[in-house]
Order: sequence, then structure tokens, then C-alpha cells
Amino acid sequence: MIMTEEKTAASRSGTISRINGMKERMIANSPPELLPERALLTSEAYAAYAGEPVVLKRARTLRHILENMTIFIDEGELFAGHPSPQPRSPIVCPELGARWVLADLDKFATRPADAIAITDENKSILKECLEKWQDSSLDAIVSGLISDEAKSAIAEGMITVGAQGTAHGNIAIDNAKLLSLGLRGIIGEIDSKMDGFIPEGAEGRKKLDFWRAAKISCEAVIAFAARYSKLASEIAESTDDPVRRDELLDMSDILKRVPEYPAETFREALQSVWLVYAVLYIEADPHAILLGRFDQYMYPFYKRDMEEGRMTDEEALELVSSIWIKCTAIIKLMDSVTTKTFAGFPLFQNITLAGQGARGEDVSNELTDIVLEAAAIARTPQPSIGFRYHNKIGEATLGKVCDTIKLGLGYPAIMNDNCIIPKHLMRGATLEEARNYCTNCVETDVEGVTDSRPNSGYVNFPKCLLLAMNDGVDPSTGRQVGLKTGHLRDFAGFGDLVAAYRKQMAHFVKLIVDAYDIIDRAHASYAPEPFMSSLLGDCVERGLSRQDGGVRYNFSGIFGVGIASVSDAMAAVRKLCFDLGKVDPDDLIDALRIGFSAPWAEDIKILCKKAPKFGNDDDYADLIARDLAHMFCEEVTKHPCVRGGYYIPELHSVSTHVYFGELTGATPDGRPAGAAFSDGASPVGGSDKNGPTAAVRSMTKIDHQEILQGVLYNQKFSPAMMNSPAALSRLGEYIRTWCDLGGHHIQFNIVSTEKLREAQGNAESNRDLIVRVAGYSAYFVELNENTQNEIIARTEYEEIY
Amino acid sequence: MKSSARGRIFKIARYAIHDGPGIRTTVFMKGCPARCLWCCSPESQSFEAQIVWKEGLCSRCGRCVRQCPNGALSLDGRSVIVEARRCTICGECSSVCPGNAIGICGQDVTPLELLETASRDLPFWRRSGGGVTVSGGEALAQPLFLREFLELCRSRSIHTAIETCLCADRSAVAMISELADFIQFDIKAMSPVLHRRLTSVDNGRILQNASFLLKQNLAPLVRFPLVPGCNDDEGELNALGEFLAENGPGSALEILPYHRLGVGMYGALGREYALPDTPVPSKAEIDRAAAILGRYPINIIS
Repeated sequence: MIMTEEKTAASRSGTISRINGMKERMIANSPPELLPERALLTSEAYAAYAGEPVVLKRARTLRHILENMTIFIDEGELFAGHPSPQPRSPIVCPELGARWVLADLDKFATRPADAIAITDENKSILKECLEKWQDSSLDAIVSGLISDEAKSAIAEGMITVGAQGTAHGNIAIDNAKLLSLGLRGIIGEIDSKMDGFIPEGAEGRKKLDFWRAAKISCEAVIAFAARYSKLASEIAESTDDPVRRDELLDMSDILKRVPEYPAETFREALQSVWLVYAVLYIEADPHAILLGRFDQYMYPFYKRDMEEGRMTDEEALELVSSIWIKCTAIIKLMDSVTTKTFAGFPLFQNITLAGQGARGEDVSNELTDIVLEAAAIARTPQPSIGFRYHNKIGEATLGKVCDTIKLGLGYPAIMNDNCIIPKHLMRGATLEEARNYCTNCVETDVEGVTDSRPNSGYVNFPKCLLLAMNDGVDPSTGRQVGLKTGHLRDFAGFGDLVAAYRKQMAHFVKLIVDAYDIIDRAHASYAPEPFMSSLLGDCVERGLSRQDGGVRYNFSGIFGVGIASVSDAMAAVRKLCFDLGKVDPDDLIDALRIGFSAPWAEDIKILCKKAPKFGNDDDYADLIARDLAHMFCEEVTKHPCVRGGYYIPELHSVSTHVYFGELTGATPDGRPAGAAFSDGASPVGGSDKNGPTAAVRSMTKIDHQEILQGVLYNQKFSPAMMNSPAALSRLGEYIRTWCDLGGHHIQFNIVSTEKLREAQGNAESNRDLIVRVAGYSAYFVELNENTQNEIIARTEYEEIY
Repeated sequence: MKSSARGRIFKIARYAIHDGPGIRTTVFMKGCPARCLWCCSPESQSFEAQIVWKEGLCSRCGRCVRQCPNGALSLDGRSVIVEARRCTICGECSSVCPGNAIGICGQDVTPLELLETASRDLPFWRRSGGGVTVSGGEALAQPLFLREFLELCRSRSIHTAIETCLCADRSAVAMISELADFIQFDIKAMSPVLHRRLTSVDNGRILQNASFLLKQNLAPLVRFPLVPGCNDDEGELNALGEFLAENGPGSALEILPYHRLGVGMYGALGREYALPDTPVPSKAEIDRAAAILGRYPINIIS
């Protein structure tokens, strides 16, 4: 159908006004507020089903919440579903994290990052509720199990260990299966497993419990959809606007069919995916439920609707744009330390676009373009887009990606099929599965069949080096933090220092593994997720929740933080103490101890700063980075994880490089005490002076192939570098070259430092400014000042002219 | 291997996207015969290596003064003074400077060394159809080095571009017309008196070289720096239009609006900027110039 230009313009302005209206109501005018409802309903259910096996108790709790929680439909919405009673209202899961929420209850409203309001009345209700959970919530249980050694390493800023009081996210369910079977079909699968099953022993009993729990949850979600259907028709009755009334009646009809039955149309498919998406947050409030390969599993519905004249591109665009508003309206409650490392309410929701199909073909399609356009219309931080690049991606598609990058939303991030598909083969997938990976912020997983647990823990690389130089003693505190591996002054050569560093790093990796294994098992014992598991292959088949290792591919991810900082520091020590003999090892350690705060130490600091730096295409520092990254991979992948599978490495820091930096004294790269480390695997901000191509050459000397969980590279370009069609073509070629050289991921921040400084001084008029923090985008003014400063300090590649 | 002419460069810019086709690596040669009033890289002018002191980055800590083995530096309260007579360009000052405020401008390289450095960008060139651009200073002022460098690039199938002011011998111009893959040159003013006043050199030779290149069928890009109050009167613009129409009808002309990005560098060299009050041209001024030039059979690139 050919539309007149006038009609197109009219429907576009309709789309924009709907999206802007939703954005206004659900984001701008919905300041974050904490409500106790989810916590209270959980308490009621846990009391009522106290005697049930945990997995059944969890399913019945989900059902109780879904039957009783407050639901709403925004006046602009075309498809329904939200995890909490109002937009931007994080939910509280007392069964997972009661202690830390209690401890932070008075801080939420006033903390510098991610402040969340709570009324006095709700605060006291929540307090009373949570106090009853103090000894039985997951965080309380875990806290009693983790070793003192790990706790002390956490306190010293050597490591973090994830998921102590929250569920695991960063996972994509099998949406294609949901759409083709519907929950009724999933229940059919569960029934066929139970049919004639004779439970034998503990294992058999456990399977049966799981299947019964999965079935209860699926039924509960079907009933939840019926509640929304009823609400939609009730609102329709009291709506005067006939257009809106029809929309609501359609919504009501659709919710009678999905997610229970297979979706027939694009809108049904979207409603089905979205309602289930909302329930996945309600079940356990994990980080990042991924939307997966949206332009793939939705495409058959799009195509059929278009062919049969049921939908226009504009209508598809309107529906898809709403996803951005609805995703950004979901926020997660995080503790005050975590908000330092994950500032800006990130949920790491992510949509994957393009990539290869099962036979290696290019599967970018019309929906790919629509999603990119939707992001441009909505302009909210969530979800970010991972665009799967490969050599068959056409110029037009890549051009649209560059156009979107230019908007300065911080996405799409470029994910390189050439590097990533082989990683999934290495991780054990079939070729077809490997080609069906979806993207997280940096990590990638075979869609619907992987539970890869990024955020099992983070290790502070630069501090490992400080310990390696000083027999395990932190120079600035004098405390024995690490292993006794000798003193710098006694090392015969640089190799001894590297060997000592490896021992320290391996030690802290092991501490993460020991602590995380305990946490992993605690999740299986206390917090299985029967509903999400029913949509992950092969949980139903195996009769195991994902927490029990029911998923086909299991991993746990450990993040190395500050690879560029530690490489620069090690390069400086090598240059000054070993190659030139210009600085006495004890003087260097003394200078670090006092944070360079004496004239003689200042001289050492200058020499440190002049030493070779990673990011300049200089092998001296770059090969140290390459070797340290390889060493990290070897140390991480040797550890099996408790669900099956093994630990996998990632060079990514989210914003932990700021947090670890605050807890670390001065380092031999000349960095003062407390300053942020390098972000992801990117060079230290401002130290890459030879331009972006040199930085790319340095970055790709690190072997991204073996870093199985992913490598983040954040590059900041000034807007001037993409202000013409020719400049945008160069950006496309630049991206292709990055991928030729074997990079895993690259993302661009396109905001001038001038603009950022202005926003720092004037938050009110810059509320819309979105920046890429590290693997995710956030509103700049919602970040704390340290994170803001760090973003400003990142090298801005001004064009040299 | 035969001994190579050494060239003196002062900067290599990677990911240059306006200096010829594709993603380019631009090499800036040191030394220029002209002294354009608006020159945005005054450190490029002298053929000699020199010390550059950037006032804004300097903390006046005096480390450089103490470090200098030749006593060539002094600190007079606000400024670091370089006594050129005593300075041997050894770089000791820069090795201790905390703010990277003082440093050497000018480095000698062989054609092969330069190519090896630049070739780190080869994967980008291959993807984008880019290559090396030699700029300046004045690229043609070191013709022996340039010839060897261009020959070396051609032997490796690397695309080359030249940016020149054409204030050079015909033999050098003929050489680049054979060895470079793409040429862009400036015409700064048509009136000889005005040209001399603005650049301190005559334009007779420049225009002859321009005419020579325009008639070679090499499709060069002509660039005209539009400097308000200096070379933007109607007579000048018409003369430029006529010249191009006569010597290279249909040739491409890019108007480069004057900018002030190099002003800070004058202070770093202890020099005065000659156009302290000249504003950058407004869009209307650029459009006006384009409209006048647009009357001639030339292809104006905005």
C-alpha cells in the first residue's frame, strides 16, 4: 500500500505524540519511588506455603503476587504489562535481599546516585516486613556461608562477588518458542514429561516438584493476562475517545489469546513477549532480561501482517518505539555500593539486531531498520541495541547503524560475529546455535539455552600488581591483603614481577570462585525460578530449574577490571626499575605509599607518567596487556562451576573501575590514589594520544577470541567527526576494520565534552542527555559526580586538522 | 639498500577523514616557504626542529630549566624562555615536564621509517580506499624525500595524496603529478600584491603550477581559504573564478572557512597572531562567496 506523503507525515506525528506522551507520563513525570507491595505479598505467600518444597513455594508465591498486585495501563499504551504498581517503581524481593534493603532504607532517598523516594508510611511498612526476613533471606544465608577471607578481600576492594542478595539476570528466554507454542504449549510439554513419570528417589521427587511448579507458574501468568484483559475492557468502557476505546478493546482481546496461545499477529506477538517479560521481573527481579534477537523472532509476524495488509510500517514503528519507554520505566533496586558501580538505573536490557542466520546468511531485514528508527524516536537509555556485524552486512544497513550512533544515545554497540561465533563453538555450541547468539551489554549467549551469569565477580587488576610489588602488602594501608610473593627489590628481572602478579591475580580469582560457588548453590536451594526456567532450554526436558543447572549451557563470568591501568603500571615498573634502573624499587613503593605527595615522589610520578602507555600502538605496553589478558583467561577457565560448565573471563568493568579506583592507592602508571581505573579494556582516558586507529591496533593486540565472555571497548568521538555523509561512511569503514582486526565489541559516545560539562552544571535543562557509561546507557545527570568526571575525562578524539 | 633522503616531519594524524578519499593517515612535513597570516600550524613553518612551550599546560615548576644540560632555558616568572642559540634540541626538558607543556617539534625520518609507522593503518586504508596524505608545512619543500616516499608507496600499492600550496619548483610539481594518486592545492589570493601581503610570497609561480596541474587531467581538488576581510572581496572571488574557468573548467573547488584553532600555538612559540580580530566567516559570508564563484563553470564543494 502506497501512502501519500501527507498521510505518512500525519501518522508519523501520531507516533511521535503517543511515544512522547508515554515518555512524559512513565519516565519524566514518574520520579523513582519505592513501594512495599511485592514484599508484602511475598511475605503472605511464604507464610501460607511455608511447608512446601522451595520450588513449589516459589511458584505459588509468584501466583499469589500475580493475582493480587496492582496493575495499570498507561493511557498511551498499545500493549500492557509492568512489574510494579507504577512506572519507575522498583520492586523489593525480601526473600532475596532483606538485610541490605533494611540497611539502606534510610539512604535510598538521599544517596548521590540513583535516589529513590519512599514515603514515611511505606518506609515503616517495609521496615516491619523486612525485619521478619532478616535471618532467612538469601543475603542473610549467603553472608553466613562466605569465607572471612573473601569478605576481607571484598572490603579491601580486591574483588566483588555478585548476586548475594539479588537474582541473576543477563539472560534471554526462548521467545521464538513462546510465540510458537504459547504457555499452553509449554504446559503441554510439562504434562507430557509428568505423564506416567514415576518419581524415584530424591532426584525423581525433585523433578516432579519442578514440573508441578513450572506448570503452576505458567497457569498463573495466563491468569495474570486475563486480569489485564479485564482491566483494558473496563477502561475502554469509561473512555470517550472512540479511537482509544478501540485500541483498548483490541488489547483486551489480544490478552485473552496471548501469552496463553501461539501468537498470530505482530501485535499479539509483542504483547505475548512483553507480558512474559514483565513477569520475569516480578518472579525474582533479576538484572537484565534480554529481549534477544527481536528482529528475528518477530519477523515472521511482521512479514505476515504486512503481506496480508494488517499493519503498516508506521504501526510497527509505533509498537516497537513503545518498547523503549516501557523498558526505561522498569528500574531495579540496588544497594548503595552497587549504585556506584552500576550508576544511572541501568538494567542492561538489550535488543539484538542482524547477524547471521543458521546457514551463515545475512538476516538483517525491514524490522532491523524499524528497530533502529524506533530507538531514534524514543531516545531513552533502555534497551540498548547490540548490532551483530559480519562481513555480509550491506552498506545500507551499516549506514543506518552509523546514523543511529550519530544520535549520541551510546548504542547500537557493534558486536562482531567474526569473533563471537567461534567463541560459542569453543563454548560447546553447535554451529547453528553459535550463529543464534544474542547480545547482552558486552556478553553474548546462545539465545534461550544459556545461563552464563556475568557478574559472578570482579577482580581489581591494578591492586594485584601493587600487592605483587610489595609481598602482598597494600603500600598505602600497610595491611597484608594478598599472598606473600616477594618484594620488588628482590626480583631478578621483570619476569619475577609478572610471576608474582599472576599468583596474586589467580588467588583473588579463586576467592571469587569459592564465594560465588556458595552463592550459586544457595540460589538453587533457596531461590529457584520455575517460571523463567520453563522458557529456557532444556529445563523442562531435564526437570531442573536453571538454578539447578537445567539450562543447556552453563557458565559463570569473572570480570577483570583495569587491564589498561595495570598494563601501563607494569610497563612503567619495567621501564623505570628494570630497563633503565632510573628508579629504586623501594623509592617507587614509598612514593606509591604516600600517593606521590612529596617533591621527590612527584619526580617519580612524572617518570611514571612518561612511561609507555597502552593504546598508542606501542608494543612495549600493548604486549603486556595482551599477556596479562591471556594469563587471566587461563586462570579463570580452569575453574568448573557448580551448575556444570566452567568460569569464563571478561574484560569489562561496567563502572566498577570507578569503585575499585576509589579503594586503591596510587599506582605506578602515575595515577593518584582514589582515581578511576581504565574502563572495560579501553585505554586509560587521555593516555591514547595517537588517534583512534592506533588505539584500535592496541586494543586488538589483546586476543579477543579467547576472552569468552567478552571485551568492552568504549570510544568517544566528538560530534564533528560524523557531521557529514562522508564522515559517516568513514565511521562505517572504521567499524568494518575493527571487526577485521578481531575486536569483540565497540561502542561510541558521541557527545562533546563541552556539552557534558555544561550538563554537569545545569542538570535541569539536560535531563535528556544520554551517555554510554560502560556496556549500558544512562541519563548523564543521574550519574554521580565521579562517574560524570570519568566520562568527561575519556579521550575525546578531536579531529586533528 | 640505497641510502635514503631523510625528511623532517612534525606530526602524523591518524583517522584523518578530510584529506583525500577514505580513511587517511596524514603526515605533516616541517617547513614552509610561505607565511600565511592565518596559518593554523605556525610550528610547521620553520624548517628547523624547535622547542615548543605551551603556556596553558605549564605549571611553572622549573623542572625543565633545571634539567637543561645547556642552560638554554630560563623561567622569567610567567614564561619559559628558550634561548635558541644554546638549545641543541636534545629533548631533556620534555622528559621531565609533568604537563607535557614543553616538547620538540620536528623529527627526522627516512621514507621507509615513515611508511612503516603510517602502515599501521593499512587495514583501515584497505577497507576505506584510503591511504597516506602528505601535508605540511609544505610537502613539496622536501622533494627528494617526497619522491622516494611516493615511489615506495606506489611499489606497495598504497594510495597517496598531496596537500600543497604549490609554492615550489616546477620539477617537484611535475614529480607529484606523476607519483601521487590525488592532489589538492590551495589558491589563497589572485592579486599578486594581496598574495604577497597575506602570505609573504609571490603567487606567480603558484598560479603557473596551478595552471600546469589543472591542465594535466588529474582532477585535483582546489581549495580556497575564505578569510574575512583578507581575500573575500568580490574582485578576488571573480578573479579566482575566471582563473579556474580558463585553466580547468569543471574542476572541483572547496571553500575552506577560516578558523582560529591554531591561535594558541602562536603563544607556544612566543609569537604574535597576525589576525587577532578576524572573525570566522558566517554562513551568509560563505554562501555569498559560493554564489559569486558559482557563476563560473566550476564544481563547488561545500
